[in-house]
Amino acid sequence: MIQIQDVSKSFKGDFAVQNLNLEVKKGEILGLLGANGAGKSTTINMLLGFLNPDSGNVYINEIDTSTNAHDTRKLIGYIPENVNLYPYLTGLENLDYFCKLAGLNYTKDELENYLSTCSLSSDAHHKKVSGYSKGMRQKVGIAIAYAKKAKVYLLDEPASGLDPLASNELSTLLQKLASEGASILMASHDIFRVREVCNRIGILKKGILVKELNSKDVSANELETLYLQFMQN
Amino acid sequence: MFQIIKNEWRFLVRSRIFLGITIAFSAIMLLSIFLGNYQIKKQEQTYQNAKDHVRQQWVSIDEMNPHSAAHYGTYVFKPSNLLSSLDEGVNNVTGNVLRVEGHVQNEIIHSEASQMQAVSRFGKLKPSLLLQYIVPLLLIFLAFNSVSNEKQSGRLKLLVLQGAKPIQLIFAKTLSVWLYGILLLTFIMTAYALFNSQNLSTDIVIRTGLFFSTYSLYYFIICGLTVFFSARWQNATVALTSMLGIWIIWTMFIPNILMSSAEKWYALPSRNEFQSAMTEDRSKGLDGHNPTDKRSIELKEKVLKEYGVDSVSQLPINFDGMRMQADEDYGNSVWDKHFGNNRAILKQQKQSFQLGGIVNPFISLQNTSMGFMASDNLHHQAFLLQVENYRRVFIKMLNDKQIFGGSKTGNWSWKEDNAFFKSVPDFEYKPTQISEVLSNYMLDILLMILWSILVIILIVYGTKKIKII
Amino acid sequence: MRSLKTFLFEWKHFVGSPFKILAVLLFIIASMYGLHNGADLYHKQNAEIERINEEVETKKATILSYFKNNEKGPSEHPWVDITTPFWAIYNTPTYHFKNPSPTLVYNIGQTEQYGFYKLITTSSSGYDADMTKEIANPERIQSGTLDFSFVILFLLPLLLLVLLYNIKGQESEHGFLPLIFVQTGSKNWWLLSRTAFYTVLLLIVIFGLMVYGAMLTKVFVADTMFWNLLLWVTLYLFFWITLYFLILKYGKNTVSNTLQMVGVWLLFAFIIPATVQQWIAIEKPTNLMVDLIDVSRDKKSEINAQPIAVIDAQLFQLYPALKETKVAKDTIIVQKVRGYSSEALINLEIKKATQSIEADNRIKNELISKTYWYNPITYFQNKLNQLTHTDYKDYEAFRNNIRKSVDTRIKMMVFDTWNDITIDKEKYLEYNSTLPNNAYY
Repeated sequence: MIQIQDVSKSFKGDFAVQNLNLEVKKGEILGLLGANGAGKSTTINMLLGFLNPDSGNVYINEIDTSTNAHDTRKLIGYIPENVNLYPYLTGLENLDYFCKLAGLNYTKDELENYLSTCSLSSDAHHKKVSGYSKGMRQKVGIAIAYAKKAKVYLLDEPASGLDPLASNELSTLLQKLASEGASILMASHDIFRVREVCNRIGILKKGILVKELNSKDVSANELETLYLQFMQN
Repeated sequence: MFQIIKNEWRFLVRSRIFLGITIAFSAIMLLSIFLGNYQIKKQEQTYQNAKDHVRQQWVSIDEMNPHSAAHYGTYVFKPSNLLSSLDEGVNNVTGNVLRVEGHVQNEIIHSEASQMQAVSRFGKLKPSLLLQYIVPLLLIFLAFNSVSNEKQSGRLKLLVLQGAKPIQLIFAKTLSVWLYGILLLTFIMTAYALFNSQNLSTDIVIRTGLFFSTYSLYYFIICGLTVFFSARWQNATVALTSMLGIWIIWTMFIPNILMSSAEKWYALPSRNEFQSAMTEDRSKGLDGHNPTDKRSIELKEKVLKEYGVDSVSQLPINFDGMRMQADEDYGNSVWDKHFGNNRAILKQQKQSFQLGGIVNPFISLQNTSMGFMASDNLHHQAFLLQVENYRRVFIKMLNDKQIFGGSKTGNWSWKEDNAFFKSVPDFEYKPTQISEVLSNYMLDILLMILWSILVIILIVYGTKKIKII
Repeated sequence: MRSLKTFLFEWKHFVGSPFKILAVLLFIIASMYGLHNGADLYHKQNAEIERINEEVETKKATILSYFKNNEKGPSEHPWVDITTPFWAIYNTPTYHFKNPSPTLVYNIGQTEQYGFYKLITTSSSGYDADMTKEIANPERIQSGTLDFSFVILFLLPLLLLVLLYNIKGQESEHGFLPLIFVQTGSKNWWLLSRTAFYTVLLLIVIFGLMVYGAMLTKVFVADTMFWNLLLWVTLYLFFWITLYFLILKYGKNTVSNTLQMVGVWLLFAFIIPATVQQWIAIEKPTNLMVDLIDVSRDKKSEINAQPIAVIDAQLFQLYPALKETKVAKDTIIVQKVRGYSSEALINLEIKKATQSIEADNRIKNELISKTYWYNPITYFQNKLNQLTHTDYKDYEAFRNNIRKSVDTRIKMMVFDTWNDITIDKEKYLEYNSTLPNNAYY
């Protein structure tokens, strides 16, 4: 579970995040919408424990990230916009390496299974990542988090640059992870994808959560209109 | 940490460019060992031929007056050393031939560098050239983007999230590149051992072991610093250019500037000044060839008194020889004073240069490299001193023969036979004990250890400030 | 016009990079240090020459005082008789100097491998112990003095590398290289204009440094040396500019370009010259001068042990005019005459031995010359050595002059001895003017 309570963070006097309150429950997917510089990445970095809030608290499964980053990181799976893996390793080797860093020793079959679960076709498992598409790398990235048995998934613009098919596969995969009990926070510009995948949606503007709503309550077009209204005001 | 090192090595092994460079470089190293050995052996042959030739001339003297033989003298050639096929140090610029004769201590002459036009400013293609200048560059190229690449690609976040600590990451990256340097070093030492398997002695093994250790330390410093820069700077190009700058300053600027400055701080006399001072001091002593010299006469009186006779013709010994030896003894003390002064100045210069290791570990590496490979100035000076000691024994033997061999004063036509000349021992070079070498270079080793610790401290404290995002 | 704009705009790139400015400053500091090192050596050698000249004058005055006081020499050396040609010539102090060229300020070259002054006697040769280098720390000589030529030959390519390494690569990495090509129309002109900026910048810096160097010694007095040197340094700069330009033209990114530039530099500065030197040492190991040793011992003894008639015959063959001398005509056999005269025969043998040594060295030099086409730094290095008179050949010429001087000295001694000339003050002064100190560049 993700809890963000009255969090503010500023850089050189400018607020990146201001009095932010958010909660993502088990099995829930929260989409954070916002323009560039709205505070999405800062929020994710605070959840990852790479930034400490100036005020307020950030919890992962009720553990404070600013004081126990090492413990909370064990629970987190992180998928950045570009999952840059080691190009000279195969998908399987990359997964193996990242798992071992986390102290997890899986058999080859288990690793293959994780990759397959994350929709990476089996013929790609043994190919070098240098030949992978962005979507394939995203899948390996999710497999890394999945193999870690992450309780929380943080995704920073995961669908950016993906073709529609890959984007769709990603949506399915995230919903599957949520159904298995993961809490997922996804920062994105993609209004339609967020509307489709997430249970709840938050709109960030200049570090302030200006709107929070259930995705079921709005259509994609309504969401876009709402978003544009907030951005233009 | 092991996983990170393993992964780094997987990259090295799978990179075709890197493999190509490694193969090409190994070939050059092998060539340097082979050519170095071949050249030393060829030079050794020339040395042996010259030595035998001169010795043959000496032992072929049928009969000669011992003092004439002291003027005839002999020659000592600087022996080539198999260790110098790894690092030739000063051997290219020092002389190789030293005339050993009575009354005078000659300079060693005929250096290799004076026998042709200039070619290489950094010496021959010896392993030390590659290990000192090129391998560190290779290590810099391998390490400069090791962390910055992780940062720029955003992978560093992922790695930290997976549980890798930045400090572990940086140490692992340092160690993996360092291990590559060690591998090259091991390769070169193994090749050297194989080429010289029949000549390996405990001394050589210890010396090469120390050689290996100091290079290992230097490589650690280079790798650690490069990885540290890679972690601290925002992009790889800045890390690369910073390290290239350090490499240039360490290897090109500081050694040259410091050595030139040390020679100015502790100035040696010019040869003319040195010789004039020697001549002046010597003129205050006894002239062995001049029976009318005041000090000669004094010595004569003393000897006559000792033997209780009135004239030198009554002496049971040859006074000429005694006068010659007295001349030698005085000359030796003059030489000890002046040459000792030069040695002291050279030592001061060396010590100042060694202290340069505080700001530049390359200086410590250069010092220890030639020191352990017996090709530094200390070994050269030790050789000159051994030759001088030999000269003294050699001349004394001849003078003693003149004094006590049965001839009378003034009998210059008296000659010794071949058996005597054969009995005069040839010069045998005794290599400097490793314990002595080690004590001379303890400061350099210590400074390199301190540098390694400094690098570790830099990594430990510096990485705390590394921005992961 | 567009190229001119690009050229001028490069100034902004340059001043915007503290790293590049620092590199240029370091280069200037190193150059000035190098120039001062060269100038110091120049002044030191000149001072030493002056000191020796003064010593010579003192020695001459001492000998002249013997003539004035009707003495035959120093009282403690009763065997010396300055009224005989042998002792008069023996006491005629003659030094030959390899005068330092004012251009030593730019390039020390091989200066420190050899002696630069030589006391000439009837038994001198160009390979005597006093022809070796000055007393110096061999570790310093081995690591080489940081002179201006070192800065030019080895650090200039590195400076150029620092100035050029990110041209094109930086634009490519930030993704606007195609934009530049579209805007400029010709990528070669764009690249050339930017490279030309640094060429001009370095030419100005080098010219300024060389003028500064010229102020430390009297370079402009010495013909066109300054301009010749400037020309060769410029050519050397263009050599590296061309290489780096090609790397930039065909290169893809900054790191790969830097690697290639460093690679080329390592190849030309280290690997090739070092391999060539190693190869020459194998082809022609260091000469231990056994031939010369044989002359100074066995040959000398053999000559002196020959019957008088044989020595005479050999001397007459060497100097046919000797038959016309007083001693020869009067057939007065004076042992000492022959004793001293045999120096001429020994000198002949020394010359034969040194000729074979010089021939050996010449082969080495020819081998070096053959590598010039793929060993450019050595080529430029030796070219600078030649221009600044610090090359092996300059010292070979110095040795040849010494040999000629020894020949003249011996001939004079032999003829005056055989003519049974008694030396007085005037004759001694004549010796001094015929056998003066000589200086060569």
